[in-house]
Amino acid sequence: MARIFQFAYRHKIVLILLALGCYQFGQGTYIYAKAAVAQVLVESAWAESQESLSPVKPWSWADTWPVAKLTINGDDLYTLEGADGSTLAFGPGHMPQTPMPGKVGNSVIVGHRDTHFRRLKDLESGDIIQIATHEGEFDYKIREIRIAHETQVNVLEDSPYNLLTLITCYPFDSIEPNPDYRYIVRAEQVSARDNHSSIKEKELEKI
Amino acid sequence: MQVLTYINTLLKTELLLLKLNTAIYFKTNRYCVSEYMLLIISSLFILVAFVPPAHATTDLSFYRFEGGSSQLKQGSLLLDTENEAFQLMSPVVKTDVDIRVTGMVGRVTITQQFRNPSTDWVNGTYVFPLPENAAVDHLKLKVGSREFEGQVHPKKKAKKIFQQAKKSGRKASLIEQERPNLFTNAIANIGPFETVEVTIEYQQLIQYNQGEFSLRFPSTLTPRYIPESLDSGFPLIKNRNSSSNSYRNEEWYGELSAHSVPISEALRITPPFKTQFEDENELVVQANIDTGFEVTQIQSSSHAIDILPTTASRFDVFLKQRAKADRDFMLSWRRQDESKPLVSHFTQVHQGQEYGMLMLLPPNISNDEQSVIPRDVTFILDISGSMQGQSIEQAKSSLIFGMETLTEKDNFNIIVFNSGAHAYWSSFQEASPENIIDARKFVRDLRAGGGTEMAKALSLAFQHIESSETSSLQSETRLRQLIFITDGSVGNEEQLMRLIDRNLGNSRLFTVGIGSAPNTYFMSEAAKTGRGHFTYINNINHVGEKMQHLFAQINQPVLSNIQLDFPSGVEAYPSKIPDLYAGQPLLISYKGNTLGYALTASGQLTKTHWSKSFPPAVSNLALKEYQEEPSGLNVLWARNKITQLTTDRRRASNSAEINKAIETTALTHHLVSEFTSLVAVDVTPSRPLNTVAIDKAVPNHLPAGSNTRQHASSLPQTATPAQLKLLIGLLLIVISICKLLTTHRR
Repeated sequence: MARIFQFAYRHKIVLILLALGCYQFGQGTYIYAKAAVAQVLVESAWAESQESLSPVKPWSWADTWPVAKLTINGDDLYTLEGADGSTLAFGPGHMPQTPMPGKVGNSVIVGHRDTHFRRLKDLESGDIIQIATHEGEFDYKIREIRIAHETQVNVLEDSPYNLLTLITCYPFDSIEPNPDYRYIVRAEQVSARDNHSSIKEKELEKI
Repeated sequence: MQVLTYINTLLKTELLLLKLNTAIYFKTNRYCVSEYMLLIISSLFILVAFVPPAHATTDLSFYRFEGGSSQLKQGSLLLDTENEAFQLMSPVVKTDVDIRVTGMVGRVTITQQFRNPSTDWVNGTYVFPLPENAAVDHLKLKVGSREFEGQVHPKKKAKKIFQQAKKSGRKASLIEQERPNLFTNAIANIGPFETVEVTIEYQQLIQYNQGEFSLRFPSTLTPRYIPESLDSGFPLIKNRNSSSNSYRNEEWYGELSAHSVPISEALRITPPFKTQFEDENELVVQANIDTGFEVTQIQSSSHAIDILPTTASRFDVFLKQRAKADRDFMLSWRRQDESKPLVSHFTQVHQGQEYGMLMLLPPNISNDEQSVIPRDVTFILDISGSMQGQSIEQAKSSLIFGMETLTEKDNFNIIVFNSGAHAYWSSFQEASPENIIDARKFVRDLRAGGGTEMAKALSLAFQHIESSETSSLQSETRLRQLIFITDGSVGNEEQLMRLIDRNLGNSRLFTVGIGSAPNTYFMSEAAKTGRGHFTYINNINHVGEKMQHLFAQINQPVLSNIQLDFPSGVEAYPSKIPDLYAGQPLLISYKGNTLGYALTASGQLTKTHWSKSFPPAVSNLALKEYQEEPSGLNVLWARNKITQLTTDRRRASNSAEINKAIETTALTHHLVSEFTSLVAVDVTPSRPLNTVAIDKAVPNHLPAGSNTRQHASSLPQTATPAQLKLLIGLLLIVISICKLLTTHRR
């Protein structure tokens, strides 16, 4: 025992360095773990809310709820309401000020470059993105992929067409926490399977 | 840059650790310290080498614009077009406001300086708000040292004059009224890098409520929402590029319906907003106040001001610093001696006609009887997109504060609305502590977003009141009050007024205005139509105080059935005097001769009769309190007449006749109205006819504290520090393990 303490005392700076390293590494891992585990919880909340057609919170203290299921290259991503940092940690977020996917207008979904939306880099123009909401299932075909500066807010603007805009940070392999550029995927609705049993009003009131 | 800051913080922590231990190390092992330092420095070098420059890996062909952020400088507006990239500078406006107050009348001169920072000739359009009771009667266009007076004309004719000037290359300014509190100034032919100055003057009454005199100068507007029609699928504005100059020639999808706002109009009241990279619209305010009584508590709840008193009843006000035109300017003052009765009667002769203004403050009867009538209170809360930011927080705390003033005898319900309306309970609930706690929790969790379908909310509220009226016992009399908390950012005011007018019954509607630049025309007009009154809260710190005032006021008896015995031949407005709440003044404008006639006002205060005589008129000769003579009483009278006509029109079968009357009144008194505009034209052309002038809108600032989508200043943050943390963590672990292994062997 005494030898361990002696060892620790002799190498205390190195040990502190090690602890710091573990802490940093742990924090990084935690971000990924949170992103992955949250999606599982959100999945069950989504299934439940598809039954009841009303918002279901994935955990009791959550300030968000799933609104859509996004399918990109066969992977399911459960999209939450809200586009602030606390929501994006758990899944891609639908900007509440934009129309819901499937509706007329420009529906905007944003996600983190490091976690959920990393897969956007594999997308190509012409690919199909599927999305399911309480209203039905919709297919969107990618029309345009481009880079925008973070001040080019006009990518959020409304449209007379049924558009879906996915936004994440760019470049993908940068480790900078707040880069200036965004990767913009713009897709247009090509087919819709309406879920007529759902009540439109419920979806309208985001309450 | 963030990476470096991050590393910097990390480094600081490590240096701190190092400092703590250096002393010991220096004594024991000098070599170890330097080796440690070497390690840290080298590790940092490795780290920095690992961090790729922000777009080193970017394929430049991806960029739709050249150069990246370095070219996005102040004063430029970046437009993203299909194939080419270009930068376009929008005109900038600097507003100079000079306010002169004499007694209850304010005369305001606004000088708008339009600067064209681009290399093109520009026709600018600026949408600007004014107080809802402003009577705009004067326009002057200044080009260099030459000045051109504006003339009032019927709207169509004025537009034609302006178009001709625009085409022929002459400078011109056209002031049109879009809403009683929203105007547009179109300026033709501003040359490259040129500045054109437009001066507008208006007259208004000072607001008085519960001892406080106040005036407000709005400097920007909250983005207005144009709702869908109630009857048919009235479409929303689509494809509106809020930052482009082409906002007038929009494609329009769908049909127009009878009662909703036509798109041409909708676009006119929804101007573009500035991005953070454009030059600021500056606001300069100075006021010269002559109250006629000793003043106290002069303050501004919106700006930092310097106050220079000249006498006990006069003072000048200046802004402490240069202001950005992103919020309303507020100024208020009180009387030193509030026990003196506040009664005044002014007259003025204008073009052979006598005009007068009466002001009287009814007695304050406190609610000494304990028989407070129980109430059914409906709180209506706006949770639309325009409320995002500070507004929603102000609104929520107002509502919570309001709920807490209820007693157990009262019933209440909460209706929230955005694109739809939703009542918290299906009927009125007792204001028990449990229900209040329950409702408070619901309110706290609300978020703002979506449309502003006020009509749905009001209809729902009236439905609830109606069903509770039919179900409750007939003998029970309850006060039915609607407390409507909103920023009023809608474009279909007239439609909503009709809805309130039709459904009000015995209820009373009180509006609480929220935000840095609410639509006060909607707020005050809705309160007037709803026979209640309007409270404006521009600062979250004033929520408690203002809501307390509001509830104190609406719990006191009102003075109703107010009559004034004018001699025949006198035309007075408002013709139907509204009920007065405690602390509200009676204000009447009239035209006609009242000389030698003792005017008396009478009314009903709960069950007792009330009456009060006015002093004989003070003509402009015998006025001692004021340094300046009363003037512009005719303008106020005409403005009040137009307001009355607009109100009457809602119930009239023949609106064409009323419209004609509005036009005639406005033309006679040189006023801008729904049907008349002011136009000023330069006599000599300035634009060479071989060049073309481009139509551009002058962007407004978003109200301070607001946070709405199209006008967001940047796209959401979509990266985490996960990779950076992993990398740093890994590096530190590797370094320390290496160090451990090497030192162990030694």
